[in-house]
Amino acid sequence: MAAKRAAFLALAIITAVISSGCWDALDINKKSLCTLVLTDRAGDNFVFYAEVPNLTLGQQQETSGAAHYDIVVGEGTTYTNARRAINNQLDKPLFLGTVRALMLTDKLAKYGVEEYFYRMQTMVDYRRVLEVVTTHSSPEEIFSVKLENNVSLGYEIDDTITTLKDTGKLVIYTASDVLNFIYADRSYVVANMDAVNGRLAFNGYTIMKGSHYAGFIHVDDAGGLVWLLGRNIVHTRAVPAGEYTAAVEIKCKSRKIRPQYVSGQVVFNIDMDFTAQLMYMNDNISVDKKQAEVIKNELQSMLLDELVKTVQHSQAIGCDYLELWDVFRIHYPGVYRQLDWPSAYQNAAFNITVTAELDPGGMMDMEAQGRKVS
Amino acid sequence: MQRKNKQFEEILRRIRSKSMDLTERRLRFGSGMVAILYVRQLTDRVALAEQVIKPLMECDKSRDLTAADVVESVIFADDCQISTDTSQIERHVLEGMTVLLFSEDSQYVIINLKQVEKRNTTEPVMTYTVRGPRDSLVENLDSNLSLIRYRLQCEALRIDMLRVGRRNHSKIAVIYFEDIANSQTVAEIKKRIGAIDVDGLSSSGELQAYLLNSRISLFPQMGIVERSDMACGALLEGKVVVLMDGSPWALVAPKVFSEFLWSCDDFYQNRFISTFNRILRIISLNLAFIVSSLYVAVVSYHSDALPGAYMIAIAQARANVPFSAILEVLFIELIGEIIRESLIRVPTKIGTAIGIVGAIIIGQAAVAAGVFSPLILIVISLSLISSFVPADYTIMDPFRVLKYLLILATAMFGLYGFTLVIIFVITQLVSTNTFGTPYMAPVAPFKLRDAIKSIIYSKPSTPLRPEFLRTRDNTRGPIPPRQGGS
Amino acid sequence: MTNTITNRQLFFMLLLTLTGGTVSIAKTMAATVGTNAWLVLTATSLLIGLAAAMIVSLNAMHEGQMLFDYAPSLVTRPGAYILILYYIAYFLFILSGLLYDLTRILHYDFFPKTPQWTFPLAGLPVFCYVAYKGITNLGRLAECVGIVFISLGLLVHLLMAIEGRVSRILPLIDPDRLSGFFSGFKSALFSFFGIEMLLVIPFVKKNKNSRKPAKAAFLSLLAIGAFYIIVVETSIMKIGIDDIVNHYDALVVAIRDTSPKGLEIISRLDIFYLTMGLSGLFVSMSIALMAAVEYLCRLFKNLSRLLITVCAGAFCYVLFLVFSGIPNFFEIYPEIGTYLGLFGGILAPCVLLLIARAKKRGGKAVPHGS
Repeated sequence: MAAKRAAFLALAIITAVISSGCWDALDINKKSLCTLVLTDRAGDNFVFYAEVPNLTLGQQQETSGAAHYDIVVGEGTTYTNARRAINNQLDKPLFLGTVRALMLTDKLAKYGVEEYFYRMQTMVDYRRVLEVVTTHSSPEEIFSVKLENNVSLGYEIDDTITTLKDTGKLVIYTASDVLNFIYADRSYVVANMDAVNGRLAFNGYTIMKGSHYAGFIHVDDAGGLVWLLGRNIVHTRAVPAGEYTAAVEIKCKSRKIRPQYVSGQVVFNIDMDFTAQLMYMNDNISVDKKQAEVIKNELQSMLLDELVKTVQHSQAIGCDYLELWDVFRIHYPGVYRQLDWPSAYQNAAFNITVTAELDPGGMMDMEAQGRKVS
Repeated sequence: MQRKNKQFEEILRRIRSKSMDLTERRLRFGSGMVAILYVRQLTDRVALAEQVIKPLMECDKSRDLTAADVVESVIFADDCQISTDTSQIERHVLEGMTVLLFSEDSQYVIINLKQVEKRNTTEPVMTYTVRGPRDSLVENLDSNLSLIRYRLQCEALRIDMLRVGRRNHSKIAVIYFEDIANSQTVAEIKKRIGAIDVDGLSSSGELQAYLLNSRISLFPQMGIVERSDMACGALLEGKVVVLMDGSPWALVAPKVFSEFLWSCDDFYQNRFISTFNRILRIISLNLAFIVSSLYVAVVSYHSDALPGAYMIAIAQARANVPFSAILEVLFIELIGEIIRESLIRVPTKIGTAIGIVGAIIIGQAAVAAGVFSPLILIVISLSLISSFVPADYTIMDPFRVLKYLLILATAMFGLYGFTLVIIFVITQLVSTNTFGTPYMAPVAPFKLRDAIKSIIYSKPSTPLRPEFLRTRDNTRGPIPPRQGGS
Repeated sequence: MTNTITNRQLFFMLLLTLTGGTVSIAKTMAATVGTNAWLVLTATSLLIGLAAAMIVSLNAMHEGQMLFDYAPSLVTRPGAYILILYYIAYFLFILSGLLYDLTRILHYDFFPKTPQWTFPLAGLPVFCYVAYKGITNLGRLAECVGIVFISLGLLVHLLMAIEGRVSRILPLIDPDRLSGFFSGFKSALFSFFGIEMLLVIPFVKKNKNSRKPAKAAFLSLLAIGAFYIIVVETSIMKIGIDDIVNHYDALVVAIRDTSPKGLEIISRLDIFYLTMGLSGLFVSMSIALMAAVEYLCRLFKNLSRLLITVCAGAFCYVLFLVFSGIPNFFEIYPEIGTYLGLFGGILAPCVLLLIARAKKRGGKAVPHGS
């Protein structure tokens, strides 16, 4: 009898405690879902710009499920103050699990981004898989760009990045990758998007050294960078061929980087193998084997030039953003630990060889062009 | 007058005093009497007149008749017995037998001229089939036995008759193949039936409750079959079929969990279709059980489980809903259960209208009024429809109840609570056994061949019976030779 | 209540018992030995595999009996009781430690507002129920859960490997960090302890042609070691050694960082891992509790199994509350657990096996003068 009473009492207590709980239960519509975080450094303050959808307004407008987005700005001398400023404006708690992109201004990059990323790690709902981009434009310019397909800027950035990445045009890192670089105190590149002619456009890469801004490479000069860092990159180039110009689609077939450590000097032997397809010529001319050979040689020399320029640039600014430190570390882990890598990299020697195979035309008979048949 | 059967009048007096509405017809023979006792409502009176009374009337009335005389050379009825136990006379008569009492003989004759009102064999109601036979079992035990016997003409088929109930003496037939069925299972079933001590049972459902391992068993340990071909199929698998007089549902044992997800059409259709359907049923069972709880978990706790676009869409759909996700789910589930219960009992003619009204009112209007979100209606409809997919509906009953436990646990602790209840349910499943067979066989304990065959089944390629049935003969037939080659 | 299990069920029980502590193993390995983790884990699994084979051989020499039954004949009755009490305390300690770990992960990673003391309060009734059901049912449960655990686990880790960077686990052998081998080895040992539960499971020979159980146990441990290697390497591939050392819950972080967009609605894998991992952890805790309950039931024959199970669960809860009050217990627990496991999982069975073998040989020897 006593055992039954004790069991009943225990059960009652457990039930009362558990049923009064649900401490973490908060419905998704009772959260302010954030789709973009733009972090800026303005003077001595940190500024957060959070893009939050207004769900009820979206419903009222009946815009086929699309939400209307508001921008909430919070400023403070520290990140926590800036966040508090944001929280003080929201009727629901901010939820960062829906953030599609993280944008950092160049001013913040120059100040240093490590604190923000350390902060990110401690937030349970903030995902480290989101892509990081930088911008030289001001937040006002960014938020006034024209959005066609998307209503949300966060979506726009994410979709643009994804499209470029999927079509092999971009090297992009996530917040997790950036944190890794920060912990390893190494250099890396971050995709940059600016407001250009009223639209948001990817226009190059910001070079980061650890957690600080170190430079910028325009997209037109970033050819060597993407060949050395990217995966499944596909690029189109205009290759001069005598008095004509050939449009060529290039893919990297293989990339072999063999480091050596010779007499106290780091040496990198880079062998790049490309396949290219001739798409079209700028005039109606026949492309025979001789002409194809000329195009191929020009292409090889162009690619070699790109690679050399990129390597020289990285050495000149003392930033191994090509992640060659990782390759060296794998082959010479002991030596790597002892080296001061930035200076060792600056003094490193490079042997770069480029080979390219040209497929003249694919399904197009380029040789038949230029001949009058009728 | 001194009669050779001194108890003759006493028996008749005893029977008359009980007011059992028996009919008594006396015929005079020689120096004695023959009393014919029967119940009008249970007897084929035409047969009685033709096969019993008429021959008695036509035989030599000068001599005394004995029971043996009547059975061997007078009456035409085929099913006759002679007995001396006078205490059973009332029982025989109440069972529908006709009893002939002799004043000059202590023995009496029991003639089976039973004719009761019974339903004709109809199409099955609950287990409809596209290609299979359409005769279903009825309430009359003899009819059911005839349906089984004409399909299984095998001398190894055993039909053991038992009686249960102090007052109604229901006949129960325990049917099995002696050379296939596990003898321990048969003995256990007969033992449990024999141990039932109750006034009476009215259906196999009540009988089933007495045959369970424990009074608080959650999951059904015996299957129910409505169709005679399914009963025969079960017998050929080495199972035991229990038929009860007065119930159109046969009980089948042992029955493991995976078998509740089989349907009769699986055996009549192409193996690929039947495999697809089985997988579909497994998915449906899981959906019916967990989809509502997952909705609560995702909406209330783990909002970042979904990609951003989906989260915003869900949030927008729920923007004006006043209830929390848990309350929403509980309300809608309750309404769904009410609709389900009402549709079982509602008259057919207005059933369709009720369904449409229910769907329109609860579905459309509630969403338009912003009381519920459209997504929850989709979720609950999916859960409801999925619960009708398993062929044997009895397996869904415990899940219908456990679903609420799962929803409450998820509401309190998100996926932690969800997982706790899932572990509890799986533990309950694996620790149940059905007459010595593990309930979760062939998954736990795992037997690869049987597990594959429980999903991918076709008779030609499955010559062996499942190992977990522990049958005496585990081959369904000769193992077919490999196809192809010289 | 029957207490026989098949070899397959034994494998899954071992798998789930051991993998209860996979969350922090990547951090531990990365911090001590870096990219040499696979080497350390291989060595550890070999050693523990041998220990498991030893335990199974010990049980096989006493068919149908568990440690409680045959220990008195090996180390005298008082010695056997001390040993049994040690194992009871060990299993209850491990269970309380697992509760503590579970609570920390749930609190910091998934439920920040929920008070930590509610998690074991909700979970212990289920663990007690499972433990109460006995070895056979627990084996079947482990089989069901284990199949899903392995399948989903391998799938998740495959996706982590695809999304991760191979360069992060290279070089495979880093000579400079081999000096941390023994330190890493000691850290890895704790993740492999759980084989002591084999002492609770009586060995029953199904037929003369049964596969050698010791070999099966050894191979099971190697397979579990391989699983650990996959866990550690894919975690390092995903988040890198420099980052991984900052997270006690490295595995959770690595899985959260994995989000293959091609999977659409199910691209966020940590929820699947949460469910699957929790299931495995619950079974692991139930096994620990079951082991303690089996010993306690033998010790207190007059008490009902239900009462013993409830009391053991309640004791574990109290122990958990005590541990929660100790600062940095999450660092102390693996240390203590390692030493306890060394004795309970390796030393004691080894000694018992030697004694059993000696007695067996002594029993077969022909006495002088006969």
